[in-house]
Amino acid sequence: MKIQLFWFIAAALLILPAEKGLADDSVKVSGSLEVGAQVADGVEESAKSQEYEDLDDAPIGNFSLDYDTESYFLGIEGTRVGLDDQQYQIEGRSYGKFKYSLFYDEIPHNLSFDAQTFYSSVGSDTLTIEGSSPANQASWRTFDYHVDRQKFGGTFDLSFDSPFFFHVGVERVEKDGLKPLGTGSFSGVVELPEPVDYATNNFTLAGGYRTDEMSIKLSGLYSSFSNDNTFLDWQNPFLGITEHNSLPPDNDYMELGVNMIWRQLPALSTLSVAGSYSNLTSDFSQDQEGSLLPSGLNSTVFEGDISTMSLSAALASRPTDDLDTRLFYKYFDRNNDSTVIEYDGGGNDTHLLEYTRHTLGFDADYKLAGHTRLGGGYEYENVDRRNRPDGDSNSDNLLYVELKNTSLDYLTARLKYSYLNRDTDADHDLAGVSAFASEYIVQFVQRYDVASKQKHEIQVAVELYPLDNLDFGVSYTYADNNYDDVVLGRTDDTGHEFYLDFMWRAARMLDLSGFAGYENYQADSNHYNYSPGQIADPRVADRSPSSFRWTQDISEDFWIVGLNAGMSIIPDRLRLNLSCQYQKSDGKSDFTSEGSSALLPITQYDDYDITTVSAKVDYTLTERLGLGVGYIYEKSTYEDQQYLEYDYAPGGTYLSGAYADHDYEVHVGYVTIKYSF
Amino acid sequence: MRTFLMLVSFSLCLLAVWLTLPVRTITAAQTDEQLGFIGAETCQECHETQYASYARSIHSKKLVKGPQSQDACETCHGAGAMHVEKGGGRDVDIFAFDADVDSLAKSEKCLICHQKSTPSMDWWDASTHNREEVSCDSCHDLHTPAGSQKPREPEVCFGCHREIEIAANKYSHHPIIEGKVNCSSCHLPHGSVSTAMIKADSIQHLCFTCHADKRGPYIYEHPPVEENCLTCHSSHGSRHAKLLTEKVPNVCQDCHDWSRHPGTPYDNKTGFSGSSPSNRFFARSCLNCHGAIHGSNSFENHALTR
Repeated sequence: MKIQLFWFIAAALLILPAEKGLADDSVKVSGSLEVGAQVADGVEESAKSQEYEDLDDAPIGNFSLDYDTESYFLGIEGTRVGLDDQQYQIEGRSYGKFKYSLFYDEIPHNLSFDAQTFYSSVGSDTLTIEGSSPANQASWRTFDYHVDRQKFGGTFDLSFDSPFFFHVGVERVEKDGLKPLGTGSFSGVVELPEPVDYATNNFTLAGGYRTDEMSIKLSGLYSSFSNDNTFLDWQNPFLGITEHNSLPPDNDYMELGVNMIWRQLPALSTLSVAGSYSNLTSDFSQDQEGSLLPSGLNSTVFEGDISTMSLSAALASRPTDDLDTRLFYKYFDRNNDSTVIEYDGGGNDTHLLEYTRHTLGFDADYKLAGHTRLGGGYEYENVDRRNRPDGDSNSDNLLYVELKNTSLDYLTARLKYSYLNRDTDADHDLAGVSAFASEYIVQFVQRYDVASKQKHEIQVAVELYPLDNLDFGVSYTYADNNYDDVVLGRTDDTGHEFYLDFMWRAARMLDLSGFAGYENYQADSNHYNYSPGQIADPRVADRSPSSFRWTQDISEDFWIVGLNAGMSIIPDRLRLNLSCQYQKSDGKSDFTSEGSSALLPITQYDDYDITTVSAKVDYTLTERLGLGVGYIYEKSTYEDQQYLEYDYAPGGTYLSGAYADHDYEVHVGYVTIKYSF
Repeated sequence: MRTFLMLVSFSLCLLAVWLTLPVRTITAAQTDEQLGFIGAETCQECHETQYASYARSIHSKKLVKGPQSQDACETCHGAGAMHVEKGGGRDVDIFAFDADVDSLAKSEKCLICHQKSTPSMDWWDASTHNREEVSCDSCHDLHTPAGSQKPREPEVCFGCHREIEIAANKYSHHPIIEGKVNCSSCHLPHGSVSTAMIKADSIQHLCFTCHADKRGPYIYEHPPVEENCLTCHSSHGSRHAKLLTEKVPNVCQDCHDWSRHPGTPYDNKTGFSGSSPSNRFFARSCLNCHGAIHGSNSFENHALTR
């Protein structure tokens, strides 16, 4: 048993006798104990089949206990006991005085099974080639890529029926396992098993004072992250030297915040103000890296220091019964005081991103006649960045208008349109740069996260309630981003999303619910295959066969349908739950090219089908005893040009099989017996 | 900046107008209703099932400053004398939490107690849920037994956010449907001033809560990591691996164009089985080399390969 779990149970046992209410006549105790077993077939085929679950053959168990008195409540719950996805929760409260919680949660993350490598000491921070040969795949070792996460901790809230309140929380998150790390150079590419040995400790503290008219809250968070491995050393099979890859660094993060709320102000208003300051630090020196350092390096020590400041204010009012308004302002500033690293070679210094964001907006909703509500709003945002020349600053103007109608008892209809205009200024310093130099091309690259654009979005939704026991909803969303000024980069992306769902409760015999969805996404982009020495201006129709313009058009379709049914076969005795789901994804990438050879379209572009069927029968043996029998079937097929005919050692590359085990067909059966009291 | 200053000035003017408005409160009409109170025993005579569920709920606890410590059923449903006098009936001179009842009116009933007793309600007035007329009983069962007051996640949230339900079922997703990440792990359903009511001042602060290994600080940063994780990732689910908004190499090439491979087209010929296989395309494409995509602390590396 893991040591964390031991402490969790020990803490739970300490809590129970502390409550005098145990001897109280009004005690209500209820709960359940469920034990059984699960068997599975096919789960070893692909890690994807049990990405976040433990589906191996194993005994299974769940339990719950609720202890309730007039003054005290204690709830204990455990699910999937003993498995890699087990979870425990204890919640307790003394009404009007305090409440607490303890939790322990394991999340497996299975990434890939049966990966292969020629490296020894997999799992350590030093990978050497011993006892196997890169050239002889039969000598490679097999391992699994997976990361196990354990989260445990507790919270305590104190109020004692006073306007003052106090909160404290502690939490530790541990992650260990292996994940793939791609690395290499022009001499060759290697996929390495990167060790994951992380621990994060979080400590939160908050307190405040509340009345009808106002409240104030002060809060603090301290979080420290540690990684047992600062660098991964590996023997380069192409160069025969030991190389060093940096891994996530240890860091310390602290955040201080204050919230203030004033209520019952003029016009039935509430004014909310919040501010916070955070600081993130880390440091390490060349001694930890152990590799040769570049000539002219200005500092052998890196001290990371990033701070942020935020301020938010919102004034929500209802000046009349028919009008709701909101005025808001948000400020966010990121300041990076980390060491700037420079060395010989020009252009190699770090570019530490800093930015300041102001957001100011106003929106209002007005109730019109006929149960119609008209809403609208405007938001202005300005972002000013340092060390990001392609998006030195941008100004966003967002407008929206919305109509909602509820004039019919059985129907709610909603229509919303929004328009965003973004103007971006670049600030490239290209003085003296030749039009034949690679650097010249940067002025034509406009990245879609900051580029100037116009966005139109339309949302339509209808909710229908034709019967008391039948709900039906349908919605459609259209979104189009048009990056008109872009020379190189994404020029347009358009999405259509159509969804519907329903829920039908046919008396006590049958519950039926389902959903369906269709999505279409299209993205177009412009690119330039530039060869050094040619004119680095993609606006000019090129004359060289080695430099040419090309475009890419991506189109993706996605369908999904799901159905759930709960049936009472024998009332209060036998119940059947059925669910099935099918989803399909079909993508395509087309090209046009001004180059000498045609580009072939990619028709297998994250194409997949997933079919899931599950059934569960619950049979009530006695008032306290129940039997559950269940079955789950899932089949997944995946086709993508990047993984077809996967090869571990194509020319100049050694792969390990990361994310290559896509397809699976899984059968899982389980039986449990549950005692309730 | 000029536009911004104009907007600030406009906002200050609005604020000045607002200050001249009269004070309105939501608790003004309470005392007159006390005249018609009949007591919970009378309610129980007709509404036995509802009373039984209420009696098991946290709202019935004497030590909770709620209905039981005030006027029991009538604390939330209003005085019952006229209702009884007229022979009862749904909505007959009684406040019922029915679907056709104004959502603000329903929430106001709850806010009389919870506005000052529940710290998470601080931002409710300015919240999107409040503005979208989502009332408390849309998510909470008001008569639920003690210990289970919190809505079942994600089912309750999926009831309205059907696009999130579909995203959470996609090929690559956060473990939401597996029950390992709740909606309230990332969102504050009772409101926050942040976009999408997230639990942090910014997207990356929220993501770094669980993904602390991505915090850095790094010598070499990747700007989207420091400003908005959603530039490359979908938050709930995606048809592409790692919850990417587009697959590699396209999501990378939409931003990176340069000499050599960033500007090179990778078509059907460049897969394992193609006529010109390229390790810039097959398998994990760009990530085959640029493994330190979230940042690097190697002293000599600005291409995020070490």
